[in-house]
Amino acid sequence: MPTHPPAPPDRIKVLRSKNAGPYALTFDVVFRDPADFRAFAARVRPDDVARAYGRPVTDVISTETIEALNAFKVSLVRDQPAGHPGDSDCYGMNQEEPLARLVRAVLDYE
Amino acid sequence: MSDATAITIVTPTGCIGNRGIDRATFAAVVAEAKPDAIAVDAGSIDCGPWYLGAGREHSPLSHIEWDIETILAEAVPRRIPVIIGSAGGSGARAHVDRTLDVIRRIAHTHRHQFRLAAIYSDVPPAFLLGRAKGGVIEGAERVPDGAPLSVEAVKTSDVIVGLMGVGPMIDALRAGADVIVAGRAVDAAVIAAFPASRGIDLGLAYHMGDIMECAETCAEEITPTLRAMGRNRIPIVGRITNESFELKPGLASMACTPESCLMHSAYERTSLDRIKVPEGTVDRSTARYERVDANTTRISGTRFVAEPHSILFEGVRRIGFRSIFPFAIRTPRMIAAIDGILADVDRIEQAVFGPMGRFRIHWHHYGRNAVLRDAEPEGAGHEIGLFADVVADNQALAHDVAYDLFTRIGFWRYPGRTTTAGNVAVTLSPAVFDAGAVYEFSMYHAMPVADSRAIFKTEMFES
Repeated sequence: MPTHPPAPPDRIKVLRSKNAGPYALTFDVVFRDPADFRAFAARVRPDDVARAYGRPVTDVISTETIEALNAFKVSLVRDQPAGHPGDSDCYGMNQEEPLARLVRAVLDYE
Repeated sequence: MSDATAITIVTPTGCIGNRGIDRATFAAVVAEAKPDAIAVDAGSIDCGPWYLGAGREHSPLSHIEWDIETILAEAVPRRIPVIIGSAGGSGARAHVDRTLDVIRRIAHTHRHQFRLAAIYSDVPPAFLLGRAKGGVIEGAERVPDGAPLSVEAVKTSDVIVGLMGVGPMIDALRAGADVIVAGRAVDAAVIAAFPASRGIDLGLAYHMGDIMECAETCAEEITPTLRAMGRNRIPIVGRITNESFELKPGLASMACTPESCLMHSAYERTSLDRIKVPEGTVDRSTARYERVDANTTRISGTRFVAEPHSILFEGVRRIGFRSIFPFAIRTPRMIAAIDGILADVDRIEQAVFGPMGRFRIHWHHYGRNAVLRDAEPEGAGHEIGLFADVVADNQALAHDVAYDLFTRIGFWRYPGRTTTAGNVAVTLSPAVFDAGAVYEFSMYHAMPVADSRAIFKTEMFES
């Protein structure tokens, strides 16, 4: 089997999006460093997430911190129900990039 | 963990028909763990509304047959009960019946004999309309925004299913079923049903089911194993008592860790701490996760808050017929002008074909903003892939609009055009594909239902 070089060190362990039912999207960010997790959770506001996705803040369903994982969870109302004509991502699996940029901006790193 | 009261459940795959169960691992796990039941989910609403409307599976039939044959080969000779939930993917009558056909074919081939139960989860519109008041169904609230359920939405739905909790599956076990094919069910309830039938705490049983339901998705690889395997779904073994449960993957190269179990608890839901189920709410905010050995995690401290029984309803309606036209553009001037061109084309198609019926063109621009739409921070690349998704009142109209688009965009005289022999790269021959009926969700609403037997109907057969 081919061997791959180890991935470069990165401050984010998991960054993912997924449907939570056909009308909601949920995002999870797991930080490697607890200090990053605490800093991000303390600084980020629901409006920051809404702005990153070009949505009103009323579309943010909830945010949650998961201390045991150094993880931050945020959920949005979908702009269109999953799999309706015009929807771009039926499973909601590939919506994470604006949140990645928000994490970098809030923690001020590239 | 006291063995006297422990119950062992094996979940062979995260979804019947999804990539296929690794047969050797599953056989070894069943022989060693001696499970009291094998419980597995087969469905999801994630694949969108089409499958529920069309009555078709979202997995390859050859994998579905492989998985069911694999499970029955180990379970039937040992008389281990098998529970399959959300049969056929979407769990409506058509899906349950197609799964029953597969099971009967395999049982016949291998001379398996067992008592087979089918639990149908289709909801008669009259059940909901009986609660109509002022144009809406009383007590029904959409998840997550609480929008009401209109009488109109019920009347225009083609298929409606309810998601069962543990009750109907416990009833089928008590009636002596060896193999249960359940229609639409809460994923975790499929795994929780057998422990609950033996008096295990519902909160712990649901919590275990919620982590096991995707099988090895809740486990980490200690050494990379899965990528090199063809049929690579790996079972999870869950052992549960009234105090705690332990989870362990079927391969020594994998581990259920506190982190991997927690990560899976966060998957596909807006809250890790609280899960709404038909019988109440599972409160995981006080749960404890401890590593037992290299492969195993023990979880305890989950609380269950009993609430009035409620059912989540999923409904779909047919809204038209689809034709698609995939193509690409490499010409920089045309890429720069694309929004104006498509707006003009859209307007002209409506002028030409509007008198023949209703239709709408949905554009997807790959290489530009197809995935993130308005939230896309980057500009277009050197080429863009497009497809026109035409949804019309009938298939012939969708087909004709899509073909008309093809030649209209292909020879559109936009300002500064130099490509007078044709503007676009057409990907395939034929250029246009007729994709059949299009469905949308008409309901995703929860409602109190005092007695689940009003909806879920069980039939028993000999295999």
